[in-house]
Amino acid sequence: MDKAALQNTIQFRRARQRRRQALVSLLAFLILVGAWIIGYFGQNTSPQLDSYLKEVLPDAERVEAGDGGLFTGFASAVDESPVVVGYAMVGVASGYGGPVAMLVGTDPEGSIIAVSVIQHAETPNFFRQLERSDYYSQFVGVRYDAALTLGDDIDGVSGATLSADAVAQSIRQAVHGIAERAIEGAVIPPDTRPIKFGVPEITLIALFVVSFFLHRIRSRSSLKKYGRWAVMAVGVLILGFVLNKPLTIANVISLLAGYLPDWRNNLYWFILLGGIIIVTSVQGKNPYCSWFCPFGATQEFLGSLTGAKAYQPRQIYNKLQWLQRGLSFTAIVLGLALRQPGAASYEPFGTLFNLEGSWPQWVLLIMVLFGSLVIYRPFCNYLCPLDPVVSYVGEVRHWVKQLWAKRKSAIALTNDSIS
Amino acid sequence: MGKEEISHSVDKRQYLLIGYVGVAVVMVVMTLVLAFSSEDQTSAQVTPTNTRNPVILTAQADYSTVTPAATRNGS
Repeated sequence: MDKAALQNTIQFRRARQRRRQALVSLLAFLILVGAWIIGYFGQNTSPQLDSYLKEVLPDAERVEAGDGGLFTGFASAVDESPVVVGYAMVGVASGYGGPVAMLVGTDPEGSIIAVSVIQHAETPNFFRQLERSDYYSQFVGVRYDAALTLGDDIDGVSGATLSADAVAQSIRQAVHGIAERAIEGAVIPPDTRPIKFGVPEITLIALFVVSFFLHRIRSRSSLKKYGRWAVMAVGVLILGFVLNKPLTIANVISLLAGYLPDWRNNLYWFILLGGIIIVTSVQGKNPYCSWFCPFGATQEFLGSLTGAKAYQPRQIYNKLQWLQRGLSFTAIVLGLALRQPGAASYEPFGTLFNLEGSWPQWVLLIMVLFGSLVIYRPFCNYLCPLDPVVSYVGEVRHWVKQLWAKRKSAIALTNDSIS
Repeated sequence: MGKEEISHSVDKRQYLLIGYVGVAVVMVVMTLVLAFSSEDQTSAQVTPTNTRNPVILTAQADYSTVTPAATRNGS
């Protein structure tokens, strides 16, 4: 085959590959949009509140639904004199994986009788912690004018802070709604919760800044090498074991689904997602995965004990990468379609850092930890759902850069031809 | 080590990797199945007193119109 024919063949193959990639991208985009639409319209089916109302207004023989979502419980049947025994209302707040809806029952004076979770989209294993730690019982007997704030009059639950905060917020919303609509002369206290900015947020910003500047240092310098190890160690200790707040696919799905948590309480969430998107877009380097992701760093530390090397055989690596993308895509589609970002989070991060997980997550964790002794970061390379997502941000940056370069050269050509 | 032996050992490592990833993928799928089929999506309740009589509801709430408390003064 002569040189020209060979070049033609290569160009033909490249064009065919580009067409295939464009088709796959379009199909993936349509599926994501479809999943989003299914999730959005499917979620508007409210659960029946009958059984929940029985739980939160146990002394009521009759419950009437009034204006603004207020339920009034009466002690007697319709035709008898109406004695009010309590009120109930639903409150909703954004948690880790989406809205958490609570039904709250109060007595006629506005003290909480009982609370009930009527819907949530949190990671099941973490949400169960609230029940196990008797979290809900703190609210019983509390009046509508209490602060109902985590760390103030309500104790949080370690490892499930965002869910606990969402529960407290939705209960507060419900009791304030009851007080506003049903209790005469009720003075609802203003929301004086401070903006939450402390050690977790400062640590996260510091990690982003340090890794940004270390990325700019030439590859072989010892400062970069030891700096990276220090960043990884902080990631494992602080983001992993102390805070248990690594980035998960649930965060990405929540963002896509439009479930944004209250920024005053969850600045960490915004710094983490925003930081990754901004740094990857500006620098073109993923600041999180290979630097301060606590799970990635744990694998690397283990691998360094045995000198584990990357193993990416050419014949199968491409196919395995597609498998990883498929897993990530499936999790995102399921999370969006069923509106349960927390359930789509299959990573065993919480299993390692908080000892919480289903049995397959425990098996997966053990496999990954042992695998890390042999292969360099096996979870990151073959299974992590976040790697394809963060790579996609890099791809978008590359695509925008190419478009910009084309536009600039087209303008230069036009200027040349004019002059 | 002969050429054939090297090739055999390479194949073996690849099969091991495929097997490893395969089992891990099964665990991932099981995790997703268990999480999405979890029955405690709407479970937790606190009931300090006994339920006395069945509640007669005169209307159903449409709580889906309640928006999440996202603002500082929105509660």
